[in-house]
Amino acid sequence: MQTDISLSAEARKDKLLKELEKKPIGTKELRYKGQMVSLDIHRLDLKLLVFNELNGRIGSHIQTHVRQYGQISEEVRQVLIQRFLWDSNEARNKKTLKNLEAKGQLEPGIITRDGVIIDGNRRAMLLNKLASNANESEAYFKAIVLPDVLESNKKEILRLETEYQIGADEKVQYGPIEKYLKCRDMSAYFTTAEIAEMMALKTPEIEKYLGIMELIDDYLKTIGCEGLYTRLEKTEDLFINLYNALRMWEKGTGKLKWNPSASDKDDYRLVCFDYIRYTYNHKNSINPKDIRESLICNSQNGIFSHERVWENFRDQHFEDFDEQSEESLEMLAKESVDQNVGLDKIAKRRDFDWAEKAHSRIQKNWGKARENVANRINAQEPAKLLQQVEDKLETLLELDYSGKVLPGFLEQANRIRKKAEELRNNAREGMSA
Amino acid sequence: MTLRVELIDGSIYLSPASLIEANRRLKFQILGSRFGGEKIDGCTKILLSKQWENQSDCLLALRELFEKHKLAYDFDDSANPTVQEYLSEREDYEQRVHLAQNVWSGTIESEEFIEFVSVIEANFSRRLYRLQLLAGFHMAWSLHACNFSVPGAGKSSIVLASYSYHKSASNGVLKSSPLLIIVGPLSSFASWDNEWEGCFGSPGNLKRISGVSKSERDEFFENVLVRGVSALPEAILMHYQTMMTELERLKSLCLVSDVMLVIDEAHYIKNTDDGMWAQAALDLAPFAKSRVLLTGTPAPNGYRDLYNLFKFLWPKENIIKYHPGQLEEMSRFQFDERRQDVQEAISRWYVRISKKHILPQEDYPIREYREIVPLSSAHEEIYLKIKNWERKVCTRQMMQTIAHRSLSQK
Repeated sequence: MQTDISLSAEARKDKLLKELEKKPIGTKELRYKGQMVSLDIHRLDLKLLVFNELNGRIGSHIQTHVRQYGQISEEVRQVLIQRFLWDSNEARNKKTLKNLEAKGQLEPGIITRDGVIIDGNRRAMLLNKLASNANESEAYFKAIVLPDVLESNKKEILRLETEYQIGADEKVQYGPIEKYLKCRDMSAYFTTAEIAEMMALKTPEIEKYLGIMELIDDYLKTIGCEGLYTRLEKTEDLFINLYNALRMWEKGTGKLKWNPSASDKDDYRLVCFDYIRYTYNHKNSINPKDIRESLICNSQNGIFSHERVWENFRDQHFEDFDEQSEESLEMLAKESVDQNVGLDKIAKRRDFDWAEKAHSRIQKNWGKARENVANRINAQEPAKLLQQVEDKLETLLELDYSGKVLPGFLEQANRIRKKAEELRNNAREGMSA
Repeated sequence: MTLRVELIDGSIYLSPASLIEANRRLKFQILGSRFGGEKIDGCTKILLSKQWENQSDCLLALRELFEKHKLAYDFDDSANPTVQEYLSEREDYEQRVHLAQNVWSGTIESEEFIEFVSVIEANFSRRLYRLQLLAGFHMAWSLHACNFSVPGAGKSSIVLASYSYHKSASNGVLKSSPLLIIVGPLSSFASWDNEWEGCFGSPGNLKRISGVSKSERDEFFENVLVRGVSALPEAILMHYQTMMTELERLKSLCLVSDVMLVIDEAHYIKNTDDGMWAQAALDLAPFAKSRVLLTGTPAPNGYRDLYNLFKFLWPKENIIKYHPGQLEEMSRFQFDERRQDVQEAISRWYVRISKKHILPQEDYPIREYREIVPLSSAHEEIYLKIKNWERKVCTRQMMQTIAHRSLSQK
C-alpha cells in the first residue's frame, strides 16, 4: 500500500475523516450488527488506507517478518503485505489485474472509519499496482465506510469480513491452511456455533478446524518454526489424519487394541510430528500414503494399534532422536551470508538438513515396526479363519440338515471332518513340540 | 537435581525449567497443549497455564509423567497434601487388590478369617457354609466387590454377613454402624426383608423409599439430613429410578454416615450408552465407602457389559483397561488375546458360587429318571404346525443354497 508515511497514523486518520465529510458517491445496504443499514460509499485515496492485519494470513505473515527482523516501520509493513498478497496467488491476481485495468473497480470494498480495509485488500493492492505500473502518483479505492473504527468493534468487523469472504463468488477462497487460521482468529470472539453460521459450515466441522489448527501450531512450535505457516504447504492431509485418529481414540471409538493414556498420546503426537517433518523434507522419504496407512491412522494395521509394537517403535525412535535443540532460525539468519534471505527459506534448509540426518534411522525403525505389525496380524489370521469356520458350521447346524438327502453332502462333510482332524493333530504336535 | 512442583495462588510452577528442557519428550508434553507450560522468570521456571477442571488431576498427571521418565521430583507443602491423599488411596487400593486376590485364591487361612467367622457366628442366626463365609470375608475385606453367584447361592446372606462384620469389627474400615443402601427391583424388597430376618433372627429396620409417596420420602430425607445418624434406619431399600431422582440427597446421606451401597441385579446398570440408571449409580459410587454388585448374569451380551460394573466398583481405578468399543470387539472374536487381560484384571474382584459349589456331585450325585409324557391335543397341534413350517423353510433355504452354489461353480 502506498500509505502516506509522511503522515503519522493520527494525521492520516484525521485526513481521512475530512475526506469522509465530503459528499459520498453512493450508498449501499449491508448487514451490520444484526441489521440492514445503509452506508455511504466514498472514493478514497489509497494513501489514506491500510491493509487489515486482523486477517489471519496477513497477520501471521507480518509476525514471521517481525520475528526475523524485529519491529518494522509502518511503511515496510504495508510494502510487505502488498508483496505477500501478490505472491499468495499470482495467477489469480494477474487475471483480476486485467479485469481492473479494463473495467475499473466495479464493486466497492469495505473499510472501517479509521481506514482499515476489511473487504477488498487484494483489490486495493492491485489498484496500487496498476497506478504504479502507469506511473500515476495517486490510486483510488471505492469503499463502503463502516461507522466504527477497528479497535472499538473488532468482533463485529471480523463477523462482517467472514460473511463477505464466504458470500462472494469472486473472492479468492480460503487456502487449506487459511481456513484453520481464520477459525482460530474468530474463536477469540465467537462461539463455535457462531463461527459455523458465519462460515456456512456445521459446528463439528469448525471444531475439527480448530483441532487441526491446534495440531499445526503445536507442530510448528515443536520444530522451532512458530508462526511460519508457509512451511506447511501441501502438508494438510497428514494433520487431518492425525486429528481424525486422535479424535476417534478420544471418543473411544477407534480401532486400537489397547487404551493409551494421555501421556502415550502425547508421545504419539511427537513421533508423528517427526515423521511429518521427515516425509515432506526428504527426497527419498516414506510415501505419505504409507504414513497414512501405517502410522497416522485409525486402523488395526497401524503401528500405534498394537501396544508392544508401539512401545518398541517409540523407544527406538526416542533413542534415535534425543537431541535437544537445533540452532534457532534467528541464529541461522544472523550467520547467513545472504542477510536478505527470509526465515522461511532458512527453516526450509534446516528441515532438509534434519531430514537428511534422520533418514537412515527413520527408515530402519519404520521397516522394523511395519514388519512387527504384519507379524502380529498374520499371527491372528489362523485363529480368525478358525472362528469363521466354526461360525459357519454353527449356521449349518441351526438349519438342521440332518437326514436330508443332498448330493455330495456326506462326502463333503467327511472331507471337512478329516481336515478338522488334521488341524487338531497339527495343533497337538505343535503343543507337544 | 530434583524438579520442584509448587502451588502458588492456585497456579502450578515447575523449577528448574532446565530439567524439563533436557528431556525432549517431557518438554513436548509439559510445554504442549495438555499442560500449557510457559517459561517465565528468565526461562528458569515453568508456569502451567492450562486450566484443569480439577487441579488434583493435573498434579497427579504430572506425578505419573515424572515417574514414567524416572525424574526426581518434589511436591512442595502446598501441592503435597493432594498427592499424598491420592497416594494413600492408591496404597489402600493396592492392599485391597492383594487381599482380594489372596482371599479368593484360598491362600488366606488367617487370624482375620477366623475373627470374621467368629463375628458372623455370634451375630447370625443362619449358618453359612464355608464358601459363603469365604465370599463374605472377600466382600468385607476387599471393601468393594461383586458377587456373580447363581440364584440360590445366598448372595443376600453374603452381603448381610459382610455388613454384619463391618458393624461389629472393632477396627473395621467402616464406622461401627454403617448404613446399608440397597438398590434393586421392587420385587426384591420383600426378599431382603426375609433375608434380614433369616440371618439376624428378627426383623430389621429396613426403610423403603420407593413405592411410597413423595411427601413420605421428603420427610424421610429431611429427618435424616437434619437429625443425622440417630434418625437413620439400618438399611434403605430403593428402586434404580429412585436412585436417579434422589441422587443429590443420597450423596448428602453418604456424608451423614459411612454407606455400604449394594446394587442388586446389577445388570440393570450395564448400559454404557447413556443409560440413566447406570449414570446415577456411577455418580453415586464415589460417595459410598463400600460398594457391592450382585447379579447372576454379569455379562449376558459380552465383555462390554462389564465396563460399568467395574467403573462403579473402583471409580478412580482403570480396572478394565479397555473402552466399551474394544470390549465389544473382543466379545466377537473368541481368540482375542485381550480377553485374558480382562479376565485377569477382574478376577480378584468377584466371587461366583455356581450350582456345583452348592450341591457338590460327590455329596449329591445326580441321578436321572426319564418318564414319557404324551402331548396334550393342543400341544401336539402346535408342535406339528411348527415342525411342518420349519421343514418347509429349511427345504427352501437348502434348495436356494444348492442352486446358488451350482450357479457359482458354472
